[in-house]
Amino acid sequence: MVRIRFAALMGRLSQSRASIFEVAVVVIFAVASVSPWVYLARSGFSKFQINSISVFDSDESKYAALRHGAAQCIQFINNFLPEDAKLLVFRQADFAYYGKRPFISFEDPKLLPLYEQATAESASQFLQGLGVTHLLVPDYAVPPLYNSSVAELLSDPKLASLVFEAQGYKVFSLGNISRARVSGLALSGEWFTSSLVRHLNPAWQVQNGDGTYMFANEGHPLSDNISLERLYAVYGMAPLDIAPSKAKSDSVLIVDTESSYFTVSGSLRLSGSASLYLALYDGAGRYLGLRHMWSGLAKNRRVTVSGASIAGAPVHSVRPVIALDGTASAEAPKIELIKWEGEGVKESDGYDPITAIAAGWDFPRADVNPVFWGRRLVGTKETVGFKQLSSHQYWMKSPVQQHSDMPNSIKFRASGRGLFTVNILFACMSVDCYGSYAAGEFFLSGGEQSVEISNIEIERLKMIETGIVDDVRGKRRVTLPEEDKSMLPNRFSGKLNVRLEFIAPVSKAFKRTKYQFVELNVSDIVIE
Amino acid sequence: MLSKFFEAVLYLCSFLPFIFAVFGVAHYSLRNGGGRLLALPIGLCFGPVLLSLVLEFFFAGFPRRSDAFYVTVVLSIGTSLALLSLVPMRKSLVAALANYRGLFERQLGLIDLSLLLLCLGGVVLALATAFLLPLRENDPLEYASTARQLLLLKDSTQYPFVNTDVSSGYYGPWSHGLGYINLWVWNGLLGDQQMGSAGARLVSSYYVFATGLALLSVNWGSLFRGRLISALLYIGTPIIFVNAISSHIDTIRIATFFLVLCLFYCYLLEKSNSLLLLSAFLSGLALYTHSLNLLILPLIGWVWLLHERKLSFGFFARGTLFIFLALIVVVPRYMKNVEVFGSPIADFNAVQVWQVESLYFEEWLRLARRLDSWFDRLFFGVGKGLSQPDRFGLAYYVFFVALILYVRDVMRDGIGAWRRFFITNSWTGYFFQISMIFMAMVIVSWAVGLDSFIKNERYTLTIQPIVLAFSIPIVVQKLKEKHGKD
Repeated sequence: MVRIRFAALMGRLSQSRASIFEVAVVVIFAVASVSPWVYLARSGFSKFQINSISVFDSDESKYAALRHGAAQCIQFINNFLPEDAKLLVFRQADFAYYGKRPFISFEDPKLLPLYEQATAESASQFLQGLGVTHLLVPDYAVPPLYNSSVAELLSDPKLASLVFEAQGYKVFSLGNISRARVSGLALSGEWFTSSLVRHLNPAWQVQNGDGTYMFANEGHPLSDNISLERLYAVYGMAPLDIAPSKAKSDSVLIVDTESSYFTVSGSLRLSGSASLYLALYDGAGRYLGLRHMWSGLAKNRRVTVSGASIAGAPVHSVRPVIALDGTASAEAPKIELIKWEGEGVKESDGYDPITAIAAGWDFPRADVNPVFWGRRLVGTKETVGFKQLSSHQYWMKSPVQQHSDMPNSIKFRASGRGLFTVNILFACMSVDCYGSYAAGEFFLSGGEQSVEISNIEIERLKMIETGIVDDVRGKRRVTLPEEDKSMLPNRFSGKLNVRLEFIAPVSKAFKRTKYQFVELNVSDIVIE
Repeated sequence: MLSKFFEAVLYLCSFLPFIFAVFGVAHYSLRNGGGRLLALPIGLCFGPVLLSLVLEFFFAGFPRRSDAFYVTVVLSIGTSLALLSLVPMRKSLVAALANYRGLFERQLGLIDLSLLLLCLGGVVLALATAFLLPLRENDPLEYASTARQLLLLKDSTQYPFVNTDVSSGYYGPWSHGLGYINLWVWNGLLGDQQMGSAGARLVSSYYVFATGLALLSVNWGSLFRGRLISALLYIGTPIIFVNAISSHIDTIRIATFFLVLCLFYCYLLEKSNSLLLLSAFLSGLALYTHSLNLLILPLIGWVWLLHERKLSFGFFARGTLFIFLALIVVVPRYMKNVEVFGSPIADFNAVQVWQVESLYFEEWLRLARRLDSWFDRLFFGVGKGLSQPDRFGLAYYVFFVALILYVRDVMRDGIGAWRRFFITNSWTGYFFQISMIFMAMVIVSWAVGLDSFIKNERYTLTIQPIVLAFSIPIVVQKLKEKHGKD
């Protein structure tokens, strides 16, 4: 029987310094012992990246709800690839347990001849001979992905085409795909590295939160706000460091309005661990996020660099950057960044609502009234220095909750006379969905003459890498009719109303998802 | 949710016959010495492993039968063993229970009670977290997939799965015994065909609890508070906690490793034949959980030699018997491994693709694990316990403090006192010897350029309970002596 001698203990504590010391030692031990639990319980949950809702579901449902590349790719494969698709997986563990398609591990001895193939073409033929139709590639360094012809296969869109990507994990489809090269950027010049990275002194090299370093092409101003914080601020919420108007784009590759298919291929001399990313920028030169392309690990030797990705609006341009891990160094990179023609590659045809419904997906709807609080602006005939029209974001408790009680207008002033062009950028982000659809109406009213713009067709855009959430962004350039020019006053006070209908495809596993993240941005207003 | 919870409880309850069986035998063997308290953690730890062994026997001998067949025969055998083990000693069982009642019947102060609650809280947190989160870590997923294949085939002769034609593409070149994997299979046999987050997910946390209880039960001459803090620090070791919630194999490996060594010390004290036989058989079960537990044999060999101080016929005879009994459990597996991999234990050489020179897998392994330069191997390899407190906790720091205190105490006896380091007459001295031998093996392997002991941070964990069982009681005792208070 346990008896607590509380009173005696307290009495002793009050009388004896020795006891207090002893208590202190025990407390230190206890804190030291408890702190890992607290830390790990917290980091464990974030590491497992699972929301608080689905923890009581089956393992499969919980896994499907993970905001992790492997989980999303497997979800995609299970839902949208044909039953007879066969995958070559470069990370077997997750797929063997959660995947529902035939597969072969990259470690399977049957693949020994694959690693002896001299060319990407012969590697492709060998794999097709084994019945492999798709490849699942992780976001970390796996030797065959930079030491064999498999690497070249992944950067040749005529042989293997990217069909889905999520946070660095990628699903490629094997086969002969017709795709023509549009443009390329040879990146064999000198690459600049520096450890002078500070928020107020932006240099080319930046330290990532996990201790890795990145560097980009030399000789061009850092117009894209890369800084320690911004690497994680993938929603464009942080203030700009450098005005977009100063942006130069001669070291970047421009993305069309339509999504584009990119590949990197080449080699570099590597000592240590490195990854190659594409840094994404919007039309105003703002940094949007990173897209993983390749990872490698070598001890002072040349390795193959290869990878593929897709990007579409609002991504306007991409720039390759290399992240170096710890003391790693990379020399003499000879890398080509190539844009290929075509529709790019979709996440999946299955995201078409009809197909998705047929697949058993659910489509909750929400009418939301996003809110803008704009800064005071003074426009000119030039581009208005609309650095940041602050955005508002909020969480919906459920996908159908109304937020009509919030103000839904933005007021701004602009001077000048001419044609107003308003670019509206918005993003609907759903934490727990692969992607989302958005449709909306936009109204612009200005001065005494109110001009209504409606029935704007919102482009359905490709998924944008945003770190932890997927999103779909719409962009619409609205030009006032010529005859309305005269109506516009010199000084313009406008009001922008936005009503957005939010439609998100939600799988059965996500039905109980409560939190949807909606963000709207007005990126800039141009007066022509 | 509730059904899953009951399913998990049912799964854990299915261990009980085997736990009772091992507990009964252990209690009988330990009845005369101070190690009586060890019987319960030994039962908790080796009971499920025995279940795995029985299940493998039937999977190998009677393959492709129905689930009900395996469940029935395994539970029948477990129940029979439990009855055989417990009925003859039902009277002494009352005494056994009294031992544990005595352990907690002492007047626990607020501090001790808090420490005890923290220990229990840690285990409950680990259990709950493991229960709630999906399986995600690489190795546990691989073990679970292996178990799924075994469940589908119901034939353990197909293991390891290097022929992917029989395993639906799954490639699992594991050379370990099925001690842990069969606990997942058992979960599937009991009804959870998906082998989701129910019972099997809890096994790793269960073994953390068993090790914590073992730390409370050993070193019975030391202060209870010291043992409590040892258990608490073990449960709170970050990487142990992560392993527990992610269902890693290591907690079962470490628990079996620790308890076999503790049991062997009881043998050294009492020199009873039953303890020798039990230690040897349980060493076999420990080997059956993980190949790395093969370390038990050289460690026991060294401390046994130090204890005996001379090579006699009797020593060789008992040693041979010990090795024979230990290996008999795993020899079939080792023979299969030789057939499949060319060696009894396979690691890097198990995967043929890794041998392709042009792929540079060895370079990748060394760089990814930060073992490229000699300094890296020393600092991040040999010195893992100190250089990675975020993973190993405070254990190795406390260990060095305790080491200084211990050496100072021993050397205080004057010239020739160093000989006491080689005498095994206390738990502290025994744990000191084990720790030193293990570390010597690590350092020697590093010096000759081998990565075997340092390539994986989990390997350093092997002696974590021993490090704690050695150091914490010393420090707590010193504090007590200094301040003269309980």
